[in-house]
Amino acid sequence: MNYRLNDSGELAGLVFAAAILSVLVTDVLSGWVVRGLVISAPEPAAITDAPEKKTPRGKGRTVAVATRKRGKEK
Amino acid sequence: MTTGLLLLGIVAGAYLAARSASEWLATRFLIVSGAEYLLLGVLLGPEVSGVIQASTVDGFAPFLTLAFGWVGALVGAQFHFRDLVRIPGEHFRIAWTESALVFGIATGLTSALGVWWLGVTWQEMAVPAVAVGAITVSSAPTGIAVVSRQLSARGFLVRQLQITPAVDALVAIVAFGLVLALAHEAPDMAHRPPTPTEWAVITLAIGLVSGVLFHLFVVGERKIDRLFIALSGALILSSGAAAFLRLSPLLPALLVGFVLVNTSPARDELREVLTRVERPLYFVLLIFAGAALQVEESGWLLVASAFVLIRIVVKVGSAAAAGRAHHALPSLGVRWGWGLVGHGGLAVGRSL
Repeated sequence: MNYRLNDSGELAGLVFAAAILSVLVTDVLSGWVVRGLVISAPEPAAITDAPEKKTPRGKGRTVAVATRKRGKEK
Repeated sequence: MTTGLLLLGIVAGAYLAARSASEWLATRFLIVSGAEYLLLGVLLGPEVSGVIQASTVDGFAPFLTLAFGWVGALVGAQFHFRDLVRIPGEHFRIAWTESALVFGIATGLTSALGVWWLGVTWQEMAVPAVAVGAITVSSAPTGIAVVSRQLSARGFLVRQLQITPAVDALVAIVAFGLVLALAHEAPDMAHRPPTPTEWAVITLAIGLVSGVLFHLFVVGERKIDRLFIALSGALILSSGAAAFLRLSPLLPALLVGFVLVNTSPARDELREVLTRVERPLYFVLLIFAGAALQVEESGWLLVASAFVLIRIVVKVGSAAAAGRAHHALPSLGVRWGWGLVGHGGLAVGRSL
């Protein structure tokens, strides 16, 4: 195809038209696409650096003290 | 003047429709609003009915600049340090890889296509190619927002689909802002015109200085109305100064949002103000963008359709490659890039 642009304004016009067409085509159905993905998503399994779940400080200390006391009683 | 009034009426109608119809469509039918406003703008513009003339759109340029600034500030406000450190780094690694791949592939492909197909030189193609790369990389966060709200969905995929559009927007805005600065034409009247590097520094300085300056106005302020006025002032100043200097208004506004949300104790209120006004501004931006569409070249539909298809392929492929590179495909699935295909108004704003 011998498509030739005469100046940079034509190129900008083409880019603008392409962006508008892209928004028109892709935005409307993006909700449905994401919904399909979320529903069929595999279970999370590969989080390597997720924050560890810690025992609340007070609770852990109480349990530790009670265990020590039980040990002494034995 | 009559056209201006008519336009204001249309904008008011769009605003009311946004308030009532947009939310209803999203919650009931999962339809993300935006395209219909763009279509409305095209129908009203000089290409179809001619109700809105090109001169009218030019007259509303300051309003469009504010809309760009608002969108940029909303992106910057997502990068609050304390929130970011709570998110597992895996998500950011995947998002940055996906963004870099899409941006690199789109820029390279556009350069090659421009040289071989459109008949321009590599030098002429450098700036447009980076601009197209920046336009291609951006993704709409609205689809995932609608779905996560409707399904109350959580998990690795949902979190990834929330983070990646933010990183995409950051990459796009920074790349676009810097390329506009680096390719800036020297003003005629200047004694010694700034160098490209100085233009880039000026772009960053406008945003940082405005952010620090308006931090003083909003510090300790919790009332939404006052925050709205202060924020509008900050964004009018930063994006207006950037637009006056023929620089991108998005990057300075992004920095304003970033500075304010990281320094102000009222960051939740700031985000609320930004989010509340964003949708109506976005719809108005889309109407103006649609009205500004003027294509005289033959075969533009073919080129635009090719762009849409190539963007989808690049997005989905890069997302899969990023997931594979970070061993996250078992959690994300190979098709997770489809969630990033929605393009969003940021792309239209940049191309405008």
